[in-house]
Amino acid sequence: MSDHLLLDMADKLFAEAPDWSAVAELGLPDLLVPEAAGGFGGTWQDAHGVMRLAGFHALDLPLAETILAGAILQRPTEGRVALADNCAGAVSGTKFSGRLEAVAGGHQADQVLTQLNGKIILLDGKDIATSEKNILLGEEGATLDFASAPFEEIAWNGDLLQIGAIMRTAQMAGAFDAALQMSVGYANDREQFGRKLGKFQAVQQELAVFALEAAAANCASIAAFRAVAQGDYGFEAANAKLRCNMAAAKATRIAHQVHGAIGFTKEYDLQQFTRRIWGWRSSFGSEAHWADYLGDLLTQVGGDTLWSYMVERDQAASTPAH
Amino acid sequence: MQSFVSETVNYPDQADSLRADIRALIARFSDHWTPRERVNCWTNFNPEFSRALGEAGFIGMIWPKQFGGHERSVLERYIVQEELLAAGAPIGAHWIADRQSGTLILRYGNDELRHYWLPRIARGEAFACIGLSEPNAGSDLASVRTNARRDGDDWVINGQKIWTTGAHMAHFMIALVRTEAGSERHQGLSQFVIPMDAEGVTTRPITDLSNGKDFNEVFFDNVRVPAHALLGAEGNGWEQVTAELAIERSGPERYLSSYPLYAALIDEARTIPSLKQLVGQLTAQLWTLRQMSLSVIVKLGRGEDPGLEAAMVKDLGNSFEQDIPALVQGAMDTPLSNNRPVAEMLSYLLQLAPSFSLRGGTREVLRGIIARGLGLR
Repeated sequence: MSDHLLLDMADKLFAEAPDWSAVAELGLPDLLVPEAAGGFGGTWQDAHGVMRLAGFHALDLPLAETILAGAILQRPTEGRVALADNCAGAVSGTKFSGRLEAVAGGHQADQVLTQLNGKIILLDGKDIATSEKNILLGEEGATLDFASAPFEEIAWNGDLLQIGAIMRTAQMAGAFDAALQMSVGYANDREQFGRKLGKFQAVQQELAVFALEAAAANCASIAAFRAVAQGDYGFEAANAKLRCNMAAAKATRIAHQVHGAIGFTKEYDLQQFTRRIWGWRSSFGSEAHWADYLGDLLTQVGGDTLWSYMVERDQAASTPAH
Repeated sequence: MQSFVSETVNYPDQADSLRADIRALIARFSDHWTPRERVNCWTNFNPEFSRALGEAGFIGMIWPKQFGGHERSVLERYIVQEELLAAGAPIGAHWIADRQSGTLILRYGNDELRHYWLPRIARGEAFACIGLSEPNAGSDLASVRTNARRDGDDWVINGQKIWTTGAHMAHFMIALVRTEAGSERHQGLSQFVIPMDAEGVTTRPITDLSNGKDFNEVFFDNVRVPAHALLGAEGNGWEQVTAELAIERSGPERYLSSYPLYAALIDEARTIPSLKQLVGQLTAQLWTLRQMSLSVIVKLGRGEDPGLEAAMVKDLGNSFEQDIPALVQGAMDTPLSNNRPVAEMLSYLLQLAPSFSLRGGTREVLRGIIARGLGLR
């Protein structure tokens, strides 16, 4: 299937707020599982497109997370998989006890994947002892407690925080574009003082800033996905997530300012995007986390060699392997 | 809606050897460049270095060989440009001619103009300045008053340009002038290639707030130029200038002017860990801007006109390079003396930074273009 067909299909489906079975029927959850293992056999570029569209349509399903879990498990997933970027707990024998906080899609997860002391562990949703919905994330996020739950250790050569951060950039990029589209549409419709809001230069200049931030997020995200195929993508994950996070505060401030009071209501859909963006900003690494990571890395690389470090990595990621 | 469609760069096979070549040339000269000269380096005049670049085939890279060019790709040219900028090389002498004036002559010029100017530019011997702004036409370029009148086969030019960077060192100017008496706004404008040594051209320096003498006023008092000095079609000036501005806005110099200070900050952060946060934040912006800038270049290389994307990269890039000195000053505790390279670059950039979001189109003009691109207005 061409990229174009896949994305057209996902775009139409996500616009209808599908349930999980509709998404699963198309094979999307196993997008990154190799065909030989019974999956879709898609590329990271495909994954970027689908995850971005999930963000663009505020899809209320842990699809991006499940796609990523499929890439890690390298086998078809069993239902909806939530990913936890934090894990406070311990393993005793073959059982895990602990708490995972602010897990997007956690309340509807059939399985939960997380990282404990560098090991990837897969937990069963049936073993969630208590599940509390979070204030900000509302229906989309929950705190999950496990007590002496069985788990499967997954052999995977990667860092969940890095790959999860890259996933979030695609969702954020999509949500920025959706909120931008809503804001531009609203400014072109709404009249005040006898003029459309979009005719006011002050509003135009603010929306232009919003567009710049959304553009930066989109560019950063796709570049990070390009790097994943390289196998070593910490630098790109850090840059992309940090840049998307930096865009989050500016973009959501402008989106709400342009909309006025209506955008502050539960009924109006802007909050579907802005609340997710706020949640994703703290998920899989904040600005402080990734800025520290980059600061440590670059002081080792050094000011004189940073340039060649950056361009050579980009060249490697952009050049298909021979 | 997709705010920015990012393009994948297919680096040419010669990318590595090209980088090696330009870095080797830079290494032959770079010992002499002071910290202050390395920042905002694309306004730093060094004719000797420009001639060396010309000799090595790094000017006019994408032009046809018959005009002294080298028929390289847009991406190869970009690689050379970004390497020069990251190294803080003094490329101001030929920069404008290579970037836009020569390109305009190639696109719109008659054979006389092309054969005369392009090989000289490509050798690093002919430098250009931009004749757009006037005392009453800054951001509002359609207000230009400088005029040209036919006199026999010649044109006679009268008027004044201002804020003309490098006019005192340049060999020619491409000027936007009114060729139709009584015409208004975008109508009746044309472009001319005016030799700076023509009789009646007077250049007067304007000292900027950092004591620099880069920009000038240029006066035209009955300056007579031949018919072939008209660039492109008579009355087509506005369209040509719009194309010129898109070229002017699309390059890597729009986000790299403060790069050497950022590189110095990284080394400071080795001993001052509190600077690491800022290093990280700037790196994420730099890395992203480079991706965006490359995307514009890919579109240019395909012959598309990414005017909107170029405006976006320029605005975001200018804010980035403008913010760097202010952020570094806020994060570091160092006397603003000339005794340390980082302080020397900082002192200089703090003064230059206001111009970054003025030159080549102000922030407000660019945001107006972006708003229009969004479907507002």
